[in-house]
Amino acid sequence: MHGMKPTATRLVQSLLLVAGLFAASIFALSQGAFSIQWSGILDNQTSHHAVFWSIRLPRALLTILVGASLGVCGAAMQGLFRNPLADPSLIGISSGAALGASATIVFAQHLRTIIELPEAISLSLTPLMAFLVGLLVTLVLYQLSSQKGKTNIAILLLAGVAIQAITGAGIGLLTYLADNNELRDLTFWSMGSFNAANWTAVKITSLCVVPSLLLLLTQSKALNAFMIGEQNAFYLGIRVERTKRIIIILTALTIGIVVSVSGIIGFIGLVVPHLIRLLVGANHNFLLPFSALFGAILLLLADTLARTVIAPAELPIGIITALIGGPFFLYLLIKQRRQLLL
Amino acid sequence: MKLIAKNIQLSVADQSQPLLSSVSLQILPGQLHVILGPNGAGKSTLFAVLSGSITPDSGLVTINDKNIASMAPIELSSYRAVLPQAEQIAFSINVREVIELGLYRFSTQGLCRRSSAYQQTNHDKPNNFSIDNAVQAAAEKFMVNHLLDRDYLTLSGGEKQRVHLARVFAQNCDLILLDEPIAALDLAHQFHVLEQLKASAKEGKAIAVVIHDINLALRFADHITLIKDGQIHASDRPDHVINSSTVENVYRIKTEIYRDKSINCMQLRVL
Repeated sequence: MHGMKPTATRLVQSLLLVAGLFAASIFALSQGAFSIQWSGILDNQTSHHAVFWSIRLPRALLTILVGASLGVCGAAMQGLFRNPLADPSLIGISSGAALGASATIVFAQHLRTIIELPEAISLSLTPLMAFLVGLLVTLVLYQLSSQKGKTNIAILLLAGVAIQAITGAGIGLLTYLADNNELRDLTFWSMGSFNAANWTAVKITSLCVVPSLLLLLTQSKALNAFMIGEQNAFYLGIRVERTKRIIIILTALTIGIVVSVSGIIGFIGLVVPHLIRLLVGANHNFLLPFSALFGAILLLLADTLARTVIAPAELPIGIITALIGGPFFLYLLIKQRRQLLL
Repeated sequence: MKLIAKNIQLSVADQSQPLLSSVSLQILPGQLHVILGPNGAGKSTLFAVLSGSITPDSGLVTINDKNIASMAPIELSSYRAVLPQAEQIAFSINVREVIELGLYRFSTQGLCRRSSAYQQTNHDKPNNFSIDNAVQAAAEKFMVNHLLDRDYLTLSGGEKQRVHLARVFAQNCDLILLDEPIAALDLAHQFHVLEQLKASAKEGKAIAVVIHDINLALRFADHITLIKDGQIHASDRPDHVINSSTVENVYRIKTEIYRDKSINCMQLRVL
């Protein structure tokens, strides 16, 4: 794309990503244990209609929402922490949210035997707890790793390890307390799956996640300014503390919702912004929306793989993203080795 | 645009000696104000106080008679631009995009066009304002226009410093505070930058700059403030501030002052 004006290049790139998302959606909708005839999806007497409208479509939409969220939140956290390794799943935000969610699952069952909870409350309790614990983890991480407007990335990653150990122990303990039904739910949380996708999940998720992502996109200029340090961002005219709070709360909210519908899906928030940065640079005006599109594409493909590789059974999607993302993370560590030496 | 600091006191809990004590000074329009002092004298701390990022224990900083503590960051950013000592950037970003950061105050993001804060900060926005022109003009001033499409991370130390100078000038403020802006520059670029600062001061901007080279200060400054141990040792016209006894008092080194006829300027020679 040499010789083109930068804005024209960006336009072409975004059209390519939108086309890619469209293609990936068609691919995801057409693949699966059941082979769909496209001619049958409008005829509501056929099983093609049922599989398409009540299983594949909500699942694909949920995957798109979650993938976009993971991409944007990864990019926003990395911008805030000024480091490409700050991925919500890696530094413990996702596992904090998962602990909140699974604790609610186990205790809500017990609570339900004592008092009757209205459906609206019991439905929103899990995402709410996931959000609150995720928020707590994010705030603790920020306090620990940030000194005088600079981020100590070694402390951030080590604190992430500690938090994952603690939440791991918490989830382990809950596994011990859980009955068989709950146990299956808990496994789902620690490895991620879109198995339970339905229209209710799509509605709740889009209601919370779409506004939150749009608000995060409005922070792109501030995130750009953060690249030259918090002090400079203040000199440029940014309300630094307020902006940090907004980004942290929106990210924790989004990750909380996402984890409560799909479990922990690692590494998307790490891999996606990194690849987009290679493509367009670190300007958040493009990085955030492009990460949303590319995150959705990548997760659609990963979920299609998860559904088809051992069909008719399916793999937890977290296994697939970890298999791709783990080696990628090692590669990033090697690249960053010098900066990480204590 | 004039900045006045009155009786600034600042100390940290675990140190008996205050970082700044009884500091009062004025940075006036039309002047290139050079701040000199040994390492650790408190120059950068003073800059952080003057630019509003550190609140002093007591004392007052005003810009055009308005207390800066009562101003929102966006309002402050329309009056003063600041270059602190070098900052690291962790991500790859174009030089053009770095300079564009200086234009944040002209953007509407986070502000409603009709809001008073927006009106306030855009009072001096030129009618024909364009991001490209503003970036281009700032880049030309510091001779980085050939680097606009380069990745910032691939630049040399001196080039990075000039890019940040261009970013600070792109902010288009009447008051500019620069902490060691020529530290990484070669001789020719040091002179070029100081000439640009001098020219901007002549146009009416108030410019305060920390440098270490006393001879350059004598050559370019309209006003010199000498700082030692968090206090102002002297603040006046260059020929009133710099003489062999003040230099010996502050830097503990023997020097003599002589007039260099070839440049028609007082200069300093270490004995």
